[in-house]
Amino acid sequence: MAAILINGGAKTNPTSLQFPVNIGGQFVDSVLYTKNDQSAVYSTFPGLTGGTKGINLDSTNQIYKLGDFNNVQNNTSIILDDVFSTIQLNGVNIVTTGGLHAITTKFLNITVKGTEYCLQLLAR
Amino acid sequence: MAAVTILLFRGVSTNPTSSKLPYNGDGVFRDSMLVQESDKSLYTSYNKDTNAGPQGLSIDNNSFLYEFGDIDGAAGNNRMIVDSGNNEFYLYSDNLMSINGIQSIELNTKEIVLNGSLIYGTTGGIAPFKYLGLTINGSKYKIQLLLP
Repeated sequence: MAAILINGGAKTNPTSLQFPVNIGGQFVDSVLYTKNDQSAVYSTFPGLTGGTKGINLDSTNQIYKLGDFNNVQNNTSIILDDVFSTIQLNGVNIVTTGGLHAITTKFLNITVKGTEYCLQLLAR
Repeated sequence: MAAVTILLFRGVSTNPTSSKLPYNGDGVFRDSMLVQESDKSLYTSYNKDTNAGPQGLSIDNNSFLYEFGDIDGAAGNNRMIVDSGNNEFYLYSDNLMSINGIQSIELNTKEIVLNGSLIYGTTGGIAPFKYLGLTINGSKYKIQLLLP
């Protein structure tokens, strides 16, 4: 793979570890970053607080995040943790406490580690 | 990290398409699949030759909508949506209806498949009045939650 040589003339985007994007023929900083050891790729967005958001692929810790995982809006996100083998769904109002509790005759099919199960659904 | 501008040789060109992120293709900046539509929007297109999409991955921080999979339904329509603006998760697959739910996890798949070494336990106790809200093909249900 050939390297791209540098000297006077055209410019890369200004910020180290930030991916460039071509905007009107100029390389500017994109919203995508890499760690220097290439162990992680993540996005941040101007004007939004809370650090990384959108996507964070961290191969060192084997944690992969998608969504609003730094709670800019409603903290709705999915986090895959391959070390602890968990899938975490985050968000407000995921768990409900009110409504009907009547048993229905419907079930949610779910396969866990290759074994088929079903979960009984309640009315609400 | 301090801002440092690296200068390129005269004659070196950017990748050809505005709004596309480049990659080094044998010493030439070429268009990648990644498209930055705005300061708050990033997505992958079908391939490096087109801006069409999003397809595969879409991050939209204008509406706080994050999508992964077959976003435009080109194949089996299998995709996941994290909608932080409306507090919703969506799972889509084939043979499905459109759905309109709020504050819930919406499942439109025939089946959910979970794989992982620690993904389930063998004991549990009732967690009073705690339920997981679901909307399945438009009908609202809940599942009683147990304590681990």
